[in-house]
Amino acid sequence: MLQTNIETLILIGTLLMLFVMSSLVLFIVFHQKKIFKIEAEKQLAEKAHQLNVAEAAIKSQENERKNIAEDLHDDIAPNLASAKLFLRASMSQSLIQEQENKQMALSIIDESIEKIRQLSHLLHPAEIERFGFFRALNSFALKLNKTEQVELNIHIHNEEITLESFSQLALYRIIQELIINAIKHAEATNFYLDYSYKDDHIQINVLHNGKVFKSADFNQSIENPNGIGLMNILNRIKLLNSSINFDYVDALENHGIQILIPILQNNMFLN
Amino acid sequence: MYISVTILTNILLIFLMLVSLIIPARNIPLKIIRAYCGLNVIIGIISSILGLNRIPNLIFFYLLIWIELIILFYFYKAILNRKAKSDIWILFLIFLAFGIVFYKYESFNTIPSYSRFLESIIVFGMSIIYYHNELQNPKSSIIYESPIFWFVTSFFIYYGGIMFLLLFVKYYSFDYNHSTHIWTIYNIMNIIEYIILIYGLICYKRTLKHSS
Repeated sequence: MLQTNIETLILIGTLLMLFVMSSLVLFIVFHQKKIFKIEAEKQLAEKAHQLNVAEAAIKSQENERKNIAEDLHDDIAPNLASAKLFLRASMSQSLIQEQENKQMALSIIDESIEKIRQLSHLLHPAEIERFGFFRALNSFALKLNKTEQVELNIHIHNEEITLESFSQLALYRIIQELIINAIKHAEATNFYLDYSYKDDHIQINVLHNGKVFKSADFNQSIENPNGIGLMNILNRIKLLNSSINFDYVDALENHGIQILIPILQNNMFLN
Repeated sequence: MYISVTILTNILLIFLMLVSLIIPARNIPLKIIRAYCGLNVIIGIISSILGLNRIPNLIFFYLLIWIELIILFYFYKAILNRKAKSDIWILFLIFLAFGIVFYKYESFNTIPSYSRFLESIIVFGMSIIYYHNELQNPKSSIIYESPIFWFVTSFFIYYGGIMFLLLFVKYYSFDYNHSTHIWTIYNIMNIIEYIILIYGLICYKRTLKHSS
């Protein structure tokens, strides 16, 4: 009797174990399939994002080329052509007229030189490499203030920056792009830039009197083709391993944008 | 019933051995599977000859447990990643420690119930590590197309299935009429294991075809 009981127990136990084990294997098969699907989708999304970034980079490059071409075509080329006309005309004219034409040609050439200098500066601000980030920032503010339509005040708490020149340039571009975008889209005329270097991060606040630009607007903007500038900002933010807050409100309830760049000891952007 | 199941088990074992010999073993796991089959065939033949001549053969059961576990240990070591390898070393050392303790309670005249039970737990544990690894870092979209998955599943089901049997076999009186029932269950588990192993080998052959 006892033997039969043990036999039944073993049979039921073995069958039960077999059932549990088979269920476990089936669960693993289905769960693994699910995990693989999720992983594949994640990779696909990552690829799509990389493609978007690459596309935005190409578009921005093309845009910059277009701007240069436009500047060359609309400003410098006509200027040089008219200077040439003045010089040619001066050959068959009286001495007084010749002097006047030469003077005109000279001033046109001067204007063209200035335009080329501005264009070159826009393409690569030499101040960053030569005199550093803060000088370039001040120079940018000076140029904006010269227009008398926009005012940019910069307040630097401590002139310290531990980013390498490439990263400094990226940061400069972010600020430049943010201000230009705020002028264009938020109709801002007054800016206040606040820079502070803290123990573990760099904090930059850009406050302005324009329309408030929120994170939701930002997300919407990068979805349409006009959002290349914003896409560039985002890419550079990623490059600096930093974060950007479009809904930033300071203690005095001024609206603006805040950039935070972490400073790590083994950060690749450190000198 | 018992005789027919035993015959079927042995036929399947020989068939499995032949299949593993026919398929060119280009990687370590398959070479280990071949060794595993070979060991079972050799021990099976020797035990049968001794049993038929009424010579005690349980010593070969003990021998089978130790060699089999070492082979399986190398199999799991070959298929798992570096991090999991340290886990299976721990399991192997547990087996070694308990194996020495059980040596006191088990003699070569009794069925190695405890040692085999412990071996089952170790193999069961190593299989769980493999499954966990596969869930963490899936190598292919369809896990059941991998021969390794079938090899592991065969060990997982077999050792998991016999675990209960081995735990209670100590309380069982081994007169011929009763013991046949127990060994029939044991042999059925063997049949399931061999069928899954054969399917794994077929999967391996398929992957070889695809790669060539």
